[in-house]
Amino acid sequence: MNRSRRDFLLLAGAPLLALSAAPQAGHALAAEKGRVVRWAMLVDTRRLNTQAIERMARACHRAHNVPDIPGRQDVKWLWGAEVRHAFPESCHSALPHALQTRAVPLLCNHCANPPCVRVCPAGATFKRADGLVGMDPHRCIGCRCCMAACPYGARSFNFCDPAPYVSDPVPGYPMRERGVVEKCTFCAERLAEGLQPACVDASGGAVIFGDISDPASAISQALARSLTLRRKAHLGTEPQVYYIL
Amino acid sequence: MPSRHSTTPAIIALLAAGALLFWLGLDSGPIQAPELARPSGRPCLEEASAMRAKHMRLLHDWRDKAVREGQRIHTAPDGSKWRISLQGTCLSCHEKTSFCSPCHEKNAVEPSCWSCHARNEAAGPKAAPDSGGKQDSVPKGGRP
Repeated sequence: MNRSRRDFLLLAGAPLLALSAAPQAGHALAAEKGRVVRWAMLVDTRRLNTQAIERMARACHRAHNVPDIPGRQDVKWLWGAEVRHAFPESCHSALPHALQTRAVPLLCNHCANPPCVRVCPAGATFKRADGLVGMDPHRCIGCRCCMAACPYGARSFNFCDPAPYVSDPVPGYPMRERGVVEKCTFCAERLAEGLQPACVDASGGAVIFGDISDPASAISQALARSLTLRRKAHLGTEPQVYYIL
Repeated sequence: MPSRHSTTPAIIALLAAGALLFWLGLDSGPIQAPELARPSGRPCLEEASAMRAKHMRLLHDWRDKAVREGQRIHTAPDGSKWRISLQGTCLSCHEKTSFCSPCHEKNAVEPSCWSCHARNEAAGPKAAPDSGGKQDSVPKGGRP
């Protein structure tokens, strides 16, 4: 009696053993198929100035039909600010004035731990496996929770129909409509075609974009060489835009 | 309060009027299909009848694949590959104003695609002729 019971338990346990081994096999398969890409950006602010950042912003806004609305309802994907405003916790009065007032380009940080994704009640903003924090305007309900959650002010709301404020619309890229939030997408549509983001192309080599999970990539090598800062890193959002000051 | 003598004939008259409307409607003949411009370019990714029945489903899937999954290539049942793009693929053969809109209007469908996609195409037939340019191509409705 005891014997048969033991056999039964062993037999019942065998599938469990198989189940526990299956995920390991899955991991091995994923490793064989190749690493997961993780996109990140490195900005060398020493090689940029206000005009260069203006050029980057224009290239970005033109490529994505971002409206130019006068006043407080403007929409921005990429914009410039001074170091003392972008990195207030890293600045102090003894820092050279030229460094404090140096211009840096600001954009969505594509955080590895994005608060905007956590708060979105509609699932309109999401994090892709490659690290991109995407925005799906089809699902956005315009509640602006993500704007409140983003510590970087990287998101803009369309308070009015943006179309009249896009001076020269690009036919290949959609517009947005009134009542949706928008932001930088790390040029997901260009990455899909193997291109670099529009701002990187316009930066004249001052901005490096690439896969930080690949130790041989240009961005990984540059990150290994220099001291880099991230905006408000103490908040734990794990921003993926790195700055050399 | 109206008397019972006048209420009953009134109800009968109303029912008769309603039935008359149906009777007249029965006589209006078959529904005319809208005049659509023939699309140019390579054959569509599925048969016309299939596309007519389920293009909205396909666009829905394309939308989620491109925007959310970053997947931009569609494989048709016959194995051909297509770039997932409403503006880049569909509208390169099909005219928005002469192919999409007439049928949508006939069927009283107001898709919200055009409030963002292909806004700078020519104005739809419904739009006022003098409003010109890029603001008028949006069908009314859209997202409130």
